[in-house]
Amino acid sequence: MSMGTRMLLFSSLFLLALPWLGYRYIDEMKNFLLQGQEDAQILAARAVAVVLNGRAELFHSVDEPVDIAVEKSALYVYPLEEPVEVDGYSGDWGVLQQQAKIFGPESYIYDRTGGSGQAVTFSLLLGEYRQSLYALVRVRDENIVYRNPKYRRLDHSDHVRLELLTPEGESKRIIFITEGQGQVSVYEMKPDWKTPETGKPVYAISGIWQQRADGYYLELRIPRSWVGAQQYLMFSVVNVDSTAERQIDSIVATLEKENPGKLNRLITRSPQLDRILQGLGSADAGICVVDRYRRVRGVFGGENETALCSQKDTVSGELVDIALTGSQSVLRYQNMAGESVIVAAQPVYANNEVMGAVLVEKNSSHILGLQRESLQKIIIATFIVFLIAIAGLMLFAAWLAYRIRKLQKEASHAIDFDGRVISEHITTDQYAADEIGQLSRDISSLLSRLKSYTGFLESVPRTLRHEILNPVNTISMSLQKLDAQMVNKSILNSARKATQQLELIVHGLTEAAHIEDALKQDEYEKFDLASMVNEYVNNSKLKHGECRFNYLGPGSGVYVVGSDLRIAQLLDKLKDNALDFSENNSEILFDLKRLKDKVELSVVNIGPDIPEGVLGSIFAGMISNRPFKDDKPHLGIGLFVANRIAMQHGGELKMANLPANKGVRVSFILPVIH
Amino acid sequence: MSYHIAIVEDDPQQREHYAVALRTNGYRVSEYANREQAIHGFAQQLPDLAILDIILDSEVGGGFEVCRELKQLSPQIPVIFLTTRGDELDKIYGLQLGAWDYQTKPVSLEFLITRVDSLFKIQQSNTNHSAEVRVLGDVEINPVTMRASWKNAAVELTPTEFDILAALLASPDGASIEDLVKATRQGLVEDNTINTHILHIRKKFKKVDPEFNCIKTRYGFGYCWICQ
Repeated sequence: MSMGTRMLLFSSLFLLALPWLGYRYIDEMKNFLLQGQEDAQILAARAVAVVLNGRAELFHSVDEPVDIAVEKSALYVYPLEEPVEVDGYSGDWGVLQQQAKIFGPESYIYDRTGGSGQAVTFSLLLGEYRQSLYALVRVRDENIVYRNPKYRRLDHSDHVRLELLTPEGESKRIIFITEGQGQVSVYEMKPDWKTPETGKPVYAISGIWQQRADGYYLELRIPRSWVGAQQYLMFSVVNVDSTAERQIDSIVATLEKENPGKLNRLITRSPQLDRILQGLGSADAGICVVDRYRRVRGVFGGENETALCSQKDTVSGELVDIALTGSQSVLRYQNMAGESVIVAAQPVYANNEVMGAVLVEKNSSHILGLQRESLQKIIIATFIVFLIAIAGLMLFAAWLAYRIRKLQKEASHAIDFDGRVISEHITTDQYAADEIGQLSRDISSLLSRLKSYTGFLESVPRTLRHEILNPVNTISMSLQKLDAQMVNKSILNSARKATQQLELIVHGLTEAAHIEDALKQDEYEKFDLASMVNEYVNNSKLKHGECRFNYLGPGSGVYVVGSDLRIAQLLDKLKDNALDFSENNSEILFDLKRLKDKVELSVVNIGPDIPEGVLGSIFAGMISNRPFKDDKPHLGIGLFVANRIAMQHGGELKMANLPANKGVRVSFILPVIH
Repeated sequence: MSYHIAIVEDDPQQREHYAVALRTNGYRVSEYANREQAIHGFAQQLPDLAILDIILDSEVGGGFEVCRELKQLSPQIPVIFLTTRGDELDKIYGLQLGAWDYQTKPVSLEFLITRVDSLFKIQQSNTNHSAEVRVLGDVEINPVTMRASWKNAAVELTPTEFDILAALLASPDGASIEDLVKATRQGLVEDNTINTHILHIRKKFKKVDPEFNCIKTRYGFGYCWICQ
């Protein structure tokens, strides 16, 4: 794994924590905001409650002792946003249809059959729009008996009765009766509900009767002014099952028969309450006031379908229960549309009694929306930061890697193949203040120390030469003097030979040590290698007086650039080496081959092979692998010098054993010019 | 009157050997161990010949310095360097010190005396030796005065170079490296030292005649003198 990748991975771990931290922060913020909102809503609810405190009249239109039973059986009038069409169809009542109150056998006020007859139930829905009161009466009656004009009395067929108390306090009985579907006849009746009061229909009230598969619908419009301030009325459905008998079988009323002579109270939204709420409310919060029976008495805002108080007569739930016991409470829940809603409830007092409760409802989905939005922003920001950081890190890593590579390249080139220090000063990042700069400077100082050490080593042969040759000179001169006096020349000769050998050793050493400097001073020129080698081999034959040297290759025409004398020196070394290792009088072959843009000159001798382990280091100097001894010192310097010459000419020297261990081939490969 | 020879050599034993050998042969010898002593001595009395070791104590090129200062005092005084060869030989030429000759260590005392003798002989008599002149084509050499000329123009050679040239001219079939080494009478000499000498001889001839091309390399053998 490269340094850059590792760094990237490592920093990614930390970067990945950023969105999580952001999420945590936003979540906390959301909770904080929701908490704040709850508190704000409790305060708002309290403020509304404080305004309403002690104002019982807002809940009751008339100040009168409240009959619990009547209060419980009160009918709720829903405020309509637009008038419904009186057509006997329920469609335009919309979702309010679910709020219809159902009256069944338990509400029978008269039952001739004693429970054995067909059960009739009906549902009632009341609505209010401006000055009209609308009613939808949906009756389940399998057997509809219509009015027969033969009968003068109006109690011989199925019909609906309405009893109400006029603003003047006068009781009115109104009957809705029909001979078939369509417009119903409306009459004001005498108290015995048998005959009309006047015989003239009441035109102020209109109603449509629609027959259904299991009964009929009756839709009515009644002027609001007919219902007095106390707002009392009662609906009852009269069922006649037999066309033959035409007798009333049962009557189902909106008020149980335990309350004879009484009427249902109408509960409407209180206009004063609405006005007060209008003054208090804010557009984005829904305020809802319920009375102690949890009936919605005032609503402001939040009039959408999902709002807590919308299109409901009562509000149930723990929240209202708590408020009605006199405590404040707050609730967070999800409405049907999946939105988060906060409702705060606060009791309203009058005469130290809980009159009702104020509910303040606010949709908190905007907070969640805010959270989502912030989260989105954070994710995007994190992503961008992530990208920038990755790009930055990659750049940084690439920059570091580039510097390290450069340093490595320069450092590896500071020392040549043989371990000589070429440059003791690393320029890469030498002034950089960071670790790489430090490394560069360290390498520089290391190199300069190494250089001074190798300098010392290189100066050793020179010093050695001076130090050895001087005593050798002294010995030599002493021997010369002795020469004149000594009789035993053989002793002198061996001493002389020994000094000569010492000399040879010193020369060999110094030659190797100074070959580099000497080679640099050579003047190069173009010359014909083939003709030179050819001549060299011929002259070697003459010189050694043996015909064992052979040349294989072109007689001329292979041109190289270099120092001919150095190449000759190289050939000398290779020849000496071949001679030393060749078996008695065996052939020594100089083989010149033209390669593509190089020339390979090989000197091949028959003889012992070179151990594989030595092959690689044979040119390194001071490696002598002679299995035999002769009178010449062998320091392994010949091939070292030859290799130096080859390298100086841009060529190389290779040594390989012949197949089947028959001998050795030393090849000198050199670029040619065309 | 005997000739005065200055020897500058830091090793007392070697100095002693040279001095004894020269004195035995009738020369007056002043011995100096280092550069300061030598310069001091030269200031009092100039020698007729100076024999200088190159490395003097810690001064690697001390001999060269002494030579330079001596030449400033008197440019005509001949100088013989004692070298350990190789790079120093090149330096003697490279520095243009005007050395008359050099001897390689270990020094053959006998040969040193011969060289000193012939030097003074040459200085003594600039005439009278024309009888010895040998002519070979365009080249003339006088073994007594160790003078050579090419197409009647003098070529300044050191005695060693003269010996090599003489050996080359003496072998019409070419002289092997070994022959030339022998001719220098300097004991153990590497092949490359002969190459260096040949290089310098060629340069000196080319100086008087840029067209000179008579010394041919016989690879693997030596050199030969063929003028064509």
